[in-house]
Amino acid sequence: MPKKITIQFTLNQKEISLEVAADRRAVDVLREDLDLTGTKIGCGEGDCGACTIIIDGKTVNSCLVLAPQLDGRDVVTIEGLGNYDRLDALQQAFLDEGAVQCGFCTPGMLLSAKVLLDENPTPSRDDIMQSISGNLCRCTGYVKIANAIERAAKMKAGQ
Amino acid sequence: MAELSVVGKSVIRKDALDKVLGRTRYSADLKMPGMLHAKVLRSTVPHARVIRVDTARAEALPGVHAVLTAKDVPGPNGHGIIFKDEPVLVSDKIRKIGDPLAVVAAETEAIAAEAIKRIEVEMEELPGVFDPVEAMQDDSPKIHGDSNILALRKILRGHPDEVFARAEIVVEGEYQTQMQEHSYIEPEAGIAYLDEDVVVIKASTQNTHFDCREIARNLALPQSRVRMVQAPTGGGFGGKLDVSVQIHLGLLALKTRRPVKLVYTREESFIASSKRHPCRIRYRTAADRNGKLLAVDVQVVGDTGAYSSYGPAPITRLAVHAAGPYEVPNARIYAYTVYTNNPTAGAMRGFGVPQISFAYEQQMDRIAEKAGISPLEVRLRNSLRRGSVTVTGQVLDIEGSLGDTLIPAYETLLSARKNEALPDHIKKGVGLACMYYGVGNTGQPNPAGAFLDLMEDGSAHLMVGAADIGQGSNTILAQIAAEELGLDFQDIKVISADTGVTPDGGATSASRQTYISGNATLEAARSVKTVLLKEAALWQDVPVERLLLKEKCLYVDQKPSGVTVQQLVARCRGKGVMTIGHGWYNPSTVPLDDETGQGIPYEVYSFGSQAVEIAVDTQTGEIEVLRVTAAHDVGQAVNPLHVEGQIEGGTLMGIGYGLYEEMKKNNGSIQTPSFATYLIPTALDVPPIDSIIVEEKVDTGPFGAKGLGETSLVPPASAIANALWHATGIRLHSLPLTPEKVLRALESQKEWPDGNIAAEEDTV
Amino acid sequence: MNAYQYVKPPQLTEALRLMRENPDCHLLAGGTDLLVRMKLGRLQPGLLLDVSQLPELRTIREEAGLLRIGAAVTHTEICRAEAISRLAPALAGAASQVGSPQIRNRGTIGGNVGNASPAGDTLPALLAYGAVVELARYDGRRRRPLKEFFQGPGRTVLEEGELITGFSLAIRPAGQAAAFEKMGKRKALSISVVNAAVLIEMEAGAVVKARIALGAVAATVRRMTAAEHHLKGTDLSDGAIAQAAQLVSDAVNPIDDVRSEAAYRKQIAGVLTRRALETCRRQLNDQRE
Repeated sequence: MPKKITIQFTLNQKEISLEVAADRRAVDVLREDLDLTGTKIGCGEGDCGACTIIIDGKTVNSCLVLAPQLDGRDVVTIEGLGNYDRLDALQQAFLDEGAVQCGFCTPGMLLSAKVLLDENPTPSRDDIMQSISGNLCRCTGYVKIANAIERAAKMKAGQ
Repeated sequence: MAELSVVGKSVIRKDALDKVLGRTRYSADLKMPGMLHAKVLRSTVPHARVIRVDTARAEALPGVHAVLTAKDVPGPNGHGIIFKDEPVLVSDKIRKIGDPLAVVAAETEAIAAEAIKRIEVEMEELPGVFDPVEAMQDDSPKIHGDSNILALRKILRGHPDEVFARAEIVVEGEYQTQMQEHSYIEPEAGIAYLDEDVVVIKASTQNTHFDCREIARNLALPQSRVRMVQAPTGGGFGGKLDVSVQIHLGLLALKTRRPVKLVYTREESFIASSKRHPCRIRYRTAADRNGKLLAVDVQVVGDTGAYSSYGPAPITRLAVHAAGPYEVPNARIYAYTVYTNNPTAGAMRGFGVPQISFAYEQQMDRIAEKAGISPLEVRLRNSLRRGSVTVTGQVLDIEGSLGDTLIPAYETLLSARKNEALPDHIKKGVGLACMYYGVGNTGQPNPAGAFLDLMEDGSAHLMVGAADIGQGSNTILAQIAAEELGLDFQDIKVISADTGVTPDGGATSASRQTYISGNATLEAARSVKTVLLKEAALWQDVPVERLLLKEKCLYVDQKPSGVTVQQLVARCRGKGVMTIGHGWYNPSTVPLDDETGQGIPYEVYSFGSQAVEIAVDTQTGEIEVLRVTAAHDVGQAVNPLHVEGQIEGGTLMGIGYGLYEEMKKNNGSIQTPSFATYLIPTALDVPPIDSIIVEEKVDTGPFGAKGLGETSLVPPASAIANALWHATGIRLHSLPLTPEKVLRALESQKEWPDGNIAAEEDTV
Repeated sequence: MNAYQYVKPPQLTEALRLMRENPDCHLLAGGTDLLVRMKLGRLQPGLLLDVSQLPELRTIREEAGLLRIGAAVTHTEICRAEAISRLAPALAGAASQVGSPQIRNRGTIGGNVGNASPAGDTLPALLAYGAVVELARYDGRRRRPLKEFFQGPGRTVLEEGELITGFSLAIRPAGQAAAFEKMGKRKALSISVVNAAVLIEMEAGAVVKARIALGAVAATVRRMTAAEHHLKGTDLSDGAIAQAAQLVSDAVNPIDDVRSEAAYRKQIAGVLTRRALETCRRQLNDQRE
C-alpha cells in the first residue's frame, strides 16, 4: 500500500491535519475523507471545472491536484464561501439572477467568480467570461451566471 | 382573468439555496454505512458473439462481494423505453462498444476496478455495420432479428407528385447531421439499498416511474417492492431517460444485501449513454412563383445505433415536424430509424427537430431566393396560423402566427447591428430560422399525475412524478399550485419523482412537464379548492361563485373576508373532511395512421423564431456568432427568469450543435470520449443572446402556459447556416459548420465563381 | 499493486539525488498532465517527486542580457510577470491562451515543454525567442537550444535523471517584435489546431533576424527555416510576408486527427504565420513612431 503522508493545511479558515496516501487526489480527500461533497467531479481530467477549489487565492481543478500538495496551503471550498445564515454576495446574486439550474457546475462557478472579485472588484463583462472560462455549464448558457457576477460586484461595492 | 399573484413572477427556485451552498447531495455524493462500490465491465468491440464470461478470478479477489453476469438477472434481461431490446447484461451478443457484460460490487472502487480487469470474456467477433444506409441493405450484418430497419414513419398528404411535376419552383437538397452528446456535467450515478423488503434506488434520472418498471421487471419483483427515487440530477437533456445505473444497482443490492453505489466516469458516460440521431436527409420543396409552399418530399435515415432506446420516437417527431411551422398542403415524408453497431441514439433536447430544421430552414431561404423575396417574407407568407392544416391533417386552433416571434426577433437583431468597417477577409451575414414544436409525446397517451395535501397550517405537500433535472419543474409546479389555492409559494413543499410517494409524472421530456404535470397540479389544487370553497360557502353563506382564495385568505366579491385558508382547513378537519386532492392530465391526441401518418399528434404547439448575425473569417473559415435574438412563444411564462434561462441555455447548446459539437466515431468507437475532445461551448463562446418572451396563452394550458424546454435549441444551427450563405454565398449541407468545411466551400466558390455553389458536402 | 510514494525535496540537489536513486520517479509540478495520465492508468506507480516549489525553478530574473524563467513558473505567473510582458510579450500571450484559468494557475512552463506535445502553446513562443533550455542532473548541468530539444511527440533529449530547471531568452533589443497566434476550435479550454510564433528583428529597414515556429503541424513544434531565410534582408512587405507564409504552408507536415484535418492545418499554418508577421510589422512601425 502507498505510504501515508501527514499533511496540514488551512481549510475554510480552519487548521486541519490528516493522513493521505501519496496517490490521492485533493478532490477525493475533500469529498471522501472530509465529506465536503460540494466539490463535484464532472470529468476528472481538468476539462470541466466542476471540482474547482481555491488554493492560496487561485482557482485550481482539485482533480488535478495531488492531495500531498495541499500541505501548507490555504484552501477554500464552496463550503467555506457562505452558510445558511450568511450568504456570500455571489451566492445571493446567483439566487436573484436565476443563475442556477441543475446546480452541478454552481460551486465551481462561484469559486471562480470569488477569485475574480477578490482580484478585481470592478470586472468588465469580458473579465467575467474569462474568469469562468474554465467552468463548463450545459444548462444556463452562462448569461445569467455572468449577470449574477456583475450584480455581486455591485453589491460588494455598495457594502 | 383575475390578476396573477405567483404565476408570472420570477420567484427564486426552490432548490437554488442548497445548490449555491454546495449542500445538495447528488447521487455521487451519497454515502451509507457498509456501502459497496460497483463497476461495470463493458465491451470494447462493437459486434461479437459471446461464448463465455469467466468471473472466477474476479470473485477470488479479496474485497469483492458480487460479480454478476447475464445468468444472474432474474427477469427477462431486457430494457428500453419503447422496445425491450437492450440487455441488462449481455448474454449472447454484443451489439456496440460499451455493452455491459458484468457488474462487480466491492469494498472500494479500486478493488471493483481491479476485479473488472480479471474477468475473462471469450468471444467471436462479428462483422459490424456502421453506416445506416448500408445497414438497410439485405446483405448487411444484422443487429437484431432479420432487418436493421427498426421503424419507418410515413406521412402522406395530398398529391405531392402531381404538384412537383408542375411547380414553378422546386428546390432540392441533401443534408447530413452529426451525433451530438448531451454533455450534462454530472455523469450518471446512483445508489441502491434494501429497506426491509423494498429495493430502493436513488439515481440521476429523468423518469423514475419508467425506471421502476424496468428495474422491477428485470429483478422479477412487483413494482411495489422497488422504490425509485430521483436524486438531485445534474442535467439530463434527454440522456438520462434511458436506464443507466439503476438495474445494475438493484441487482447488486439484492445480491449483497448492502448499499451499493455506482458512478460513471465521464468516458463511460459518453460511451454508454444515448446520443442525438445523426440523420441523412433528402429534401425537395415545391413552391409557386410567389414562394408559397406547395409540397415537400422528404426522406430521412436516422442512425439509431445498437438499441432502440427512444429511437423511433424522435424520428417520428422529426417526420411530423418535417415541413416546419409552415403550411404545406402536399407531403410525402419517409423517415427510417435504422439499427447499426454505433453508439445508441435516443432522446436529446429537440428530439429530431433540430436535424430536420437544418434542412427545411435552408430550403426556405433557397425558395425565397428563387421567388425573389426576402427570407423574412417567405416565412411570413407560409406561416401556420388558425385554421391551417398541418402535414398530419391537424387543423390548428392557435392564436397568432410566426410573425409574432419572427418580427420581434428580426427587428431586435437589426437594431443591434453595428455598421463598422471590416477587414476584407471578414464577411458578416444575417440568418433566420423558425420552428414549432408539439408539446408532449407524439400521438400517444402520456399522462401525468399530482397529489396535493393541504395541511392545518395552510402549508401543503405537492407530490408529482415529474423529475426536476435542473429545468425547474418543482418551482413551476409549486407556483401553479400556490396560484390556484391562493397560498404562499414558500409554503408549498414539492416532493417529486419518487415512486414510493408520488404518482407517475411520465418523462421529463418532450417539453411536457409545465403543460402536462402543470395541468395535473392545477387539477389537484382545484379539487382541494373545491372542498375549501364549498365549506366557505356554507360558513359565510355566500355562493361559491363569489368566492376566491388569495394571499392565504378567503376573498368575497374580490375583497378580503378576514377568513384565512388556515381557518377554512380547520373547519373542514373539524367536520372530518380531508383537504387532499389529486389530479391527472393527458393531452388529447389522435394516433398517427400507420400508412398515412394522419392524426392529431399534439394538443398544443410552441412556436419560436431566431435571428442571428455572424462574422465569417474567409481566411480561416471560422464562424463567429455576433448576436442571437431568440423569440419564443411560451403561452404564459410561469417564471420569466426560468424561461429566459431555458432560452439562453438551449440557444447556446444549439450554437454548439451548429459550429463544433460532434461525437466522432470510427467503426462504432467513439473518438471523442472526453470534454477535451468533445467540445461544448465555454463562457467565452457565448454571443449576446436576447431572449424575447412571447405569450400567446392557450386555453388548455395551466394559466395559459405551454412547454419550452427544447424549443430554443432548434433554430440556431439552421439560422447560422442561413447567415453563412448571406455572408459568403456558400451553403453547407452538413453539420457541424466547421472552419474546415467553410474554407473548402470558399475554395470551390473561387474555382467556380459563376456556378451554383455546391461544396463537397452538398453530396451526401 | 506497486505503490506511489510522494516526496517534496526542499532543494534542487536533493531532487537530483532522488532522481538518481529512483529511476521510476515522476516529476510533479502543476500536475495538470501527470494526474490525467494517472487517472487514465497510463502511468506506472513510482516516486512522485514534487519539484513545484524548488526555489531555483520558481524564479523569473533578468541578468546579463538574459531573461531567465524557472521551469516551475506557472502560466498565470508568466502572463502576469512584468518582466515577461516587457521582454517577451509573445510568450505571455501564448501562456494566456493555455487551457483555462485553473490550468494556467497550476500548469508550469517546464511541464509544458517537458511534455513535448506538438500542440503545446508556449513552445512556439519559446522557440521564436530563441530560448535555451537549462538542464540539470546529479552529475552536472547543460544548456541546449530549445530547437534541438524535441525529438517526437512526448520525446525529448532529456536523459535519465535529468530535469529542466529553466529557460533563458536573450533580452529583446530595440527593433525587435514578436507575436503569437493560435487557432482552436473554441475560445477557451482548447488545444491548438495550429499555433504559431514569430520574432523579427529589423535594422535600417531590413530584416536581420527572423524566427518562425509552428505547432500542431508536425510531430514536434518546429522552426520554419526556409521561411526565415526568405525573410532576411526583406523589408517585411506584403509580398515578403505572403511568400514566407506560403513557404511555411509548404514546409509543414500535419496529420488528420479528431481536432482537424491535415490539409486545413497546412493552410492555416500559412494564415497564422502571415498574421503574426503582420502583427510584428505593426509593432515595429509603432516602435519607430
